[in-house]
Amino acid sequence: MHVVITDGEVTDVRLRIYEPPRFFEALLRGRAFTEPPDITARICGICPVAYQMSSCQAIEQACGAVLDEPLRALRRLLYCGEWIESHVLHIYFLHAPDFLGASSALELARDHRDLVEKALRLKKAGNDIMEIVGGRAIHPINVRLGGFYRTPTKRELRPLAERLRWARDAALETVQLVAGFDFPDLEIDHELVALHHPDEYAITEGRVVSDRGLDIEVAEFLEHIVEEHVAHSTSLHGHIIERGRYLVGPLARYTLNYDQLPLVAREAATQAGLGRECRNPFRSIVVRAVETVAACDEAVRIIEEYSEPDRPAVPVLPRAGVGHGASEAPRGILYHRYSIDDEGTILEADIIPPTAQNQDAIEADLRKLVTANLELDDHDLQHLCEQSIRNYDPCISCSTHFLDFTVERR
Amino acid sequence: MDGPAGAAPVAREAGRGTATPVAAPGEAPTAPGDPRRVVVVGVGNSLRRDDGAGIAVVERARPLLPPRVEVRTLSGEATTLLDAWAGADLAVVVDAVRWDHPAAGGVTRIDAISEPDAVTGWGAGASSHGLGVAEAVALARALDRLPPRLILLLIALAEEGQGEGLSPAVQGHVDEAVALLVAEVTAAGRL
Repeated sequence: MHVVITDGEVTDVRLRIYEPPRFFEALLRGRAFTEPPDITARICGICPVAYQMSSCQAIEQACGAVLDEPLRALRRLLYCGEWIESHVLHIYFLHAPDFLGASSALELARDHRDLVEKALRLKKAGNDIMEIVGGRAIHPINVRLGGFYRTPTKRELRPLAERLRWARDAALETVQLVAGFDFPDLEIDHELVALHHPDEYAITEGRVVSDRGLDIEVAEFLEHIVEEHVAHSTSLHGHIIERGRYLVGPLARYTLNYDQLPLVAREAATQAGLGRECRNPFRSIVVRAVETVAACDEAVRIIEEYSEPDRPAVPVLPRAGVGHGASEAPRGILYHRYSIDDEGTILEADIIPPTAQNQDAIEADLRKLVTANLELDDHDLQHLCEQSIRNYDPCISCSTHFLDFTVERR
Repeated sequence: MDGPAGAAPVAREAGRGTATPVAAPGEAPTAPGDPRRVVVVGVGNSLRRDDGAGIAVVERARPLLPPRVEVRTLSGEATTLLDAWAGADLAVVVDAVRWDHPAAGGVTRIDAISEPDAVTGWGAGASSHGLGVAEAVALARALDRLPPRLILLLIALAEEGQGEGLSPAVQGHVDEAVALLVAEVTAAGRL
């Protein structure tokens, strides 16, 4: 991150985020249409299911395949596992230390051991879903176009439900805990964009909607969203055409889909002091906790209603065409588009991850933050900026240094 | 991949031509009926050049290890490592790290139980989005979740851009790392 301060005024804030999808888009060209779920899952160790789901959805659309309902439910269950894992990791191990005065998760483990033990058990509930439905906890191997290689039996899922009921209670306690944190006042005015589904809190599918009237099919995504090269970064920045910056992720999902949250999650949100919308990025930790409740509750529901599918996957046969897929990765919309020929060879691939879409919003927040805190020395300013960036849980996992911070005072 | 560039961990360099003799392929490192549980974890991403070194090493070693040894590949996120070595008597973790010393490809062996200082302070709090191997060890130590024996084999990476395949510098030391890994498991079988 580079900040330029000229005569006491912030004249430039630039955040350079390493962005792997560009490489993967090139890697995918010429590959078989069956390969993206496995290949793109390796983009991120935290959200492989998101990449699998968005890629499957896009290619299945291109090939005209429609999943059987039980398979769709299983995919949602798998995705709930990833949400639980990712949200709990972020809440307890990355974000909570900022609010509890701990310098790191390690310090938190030393000072609040019970809390961290509970977090590990809660996260493990997500891992267990990933292992049983996805085949393993990291980079699930059981996902394929059209469904799964093997679907679990009712008997295999039953013990999961019990662990998830405990997890739901632990998630409710998490909401109570984080709601008591001291949050800086900050209201953002970015356009909020999320998937929306009328019958469920959108995770695996939905229309793309915003709080300013955007309401489109996923297939229309690139007609409304453009990615632009920015000189200071290798990544592309997403903009809504003729409107500019926007924000995806927990705040957008919560604000746009509050009514679709399960009752237990809405009640937890109310008790936590959240209204029907949330525009304070520091409170995203509360929203993530509420979404963890929702994911646990939803996972329990899916398991209770589960009927073993007649077949593990529907056939997906190649045909020339273009397909679009989008799902809600833990940190926001993940869009995939593939163009394939009649033999199933990939001609083009587009992947737009949430971090690229949020980058402008993050920079805008940082600009505001730095402007309001110019009196801080570079060290304290860096800490504040790191906290602010963490609000968005940006996907920079492969960057070993979280933040290389430079301030140029002119 | 883990560890900040330029970090100078207090670590014992074991590689670069000083590898312990290894078991011949097929030689059983653990005796039949030996209840000890051995877990080998390769950490990294094989589509990020040398970051995939840990994965490459454990995959190369896999046929040389007895079937009872659990071989896993992980991204290195700390809490999953805690789960991976839970209940193990010996865990060997192979990861690529950014270090100036040793030179690229050099393999450093750290006994995380007897040499805690070799891990402390290395890479802590480095990432916004996940915690790595060093943090996993520290976290496990704080929570009494370390296995009785935990060996880290850390390979100094040269290239960490996008792409498949290891750099020549790191590729040239894969056999050495494999030998060290197999030797660790073999030694455990003799205890």
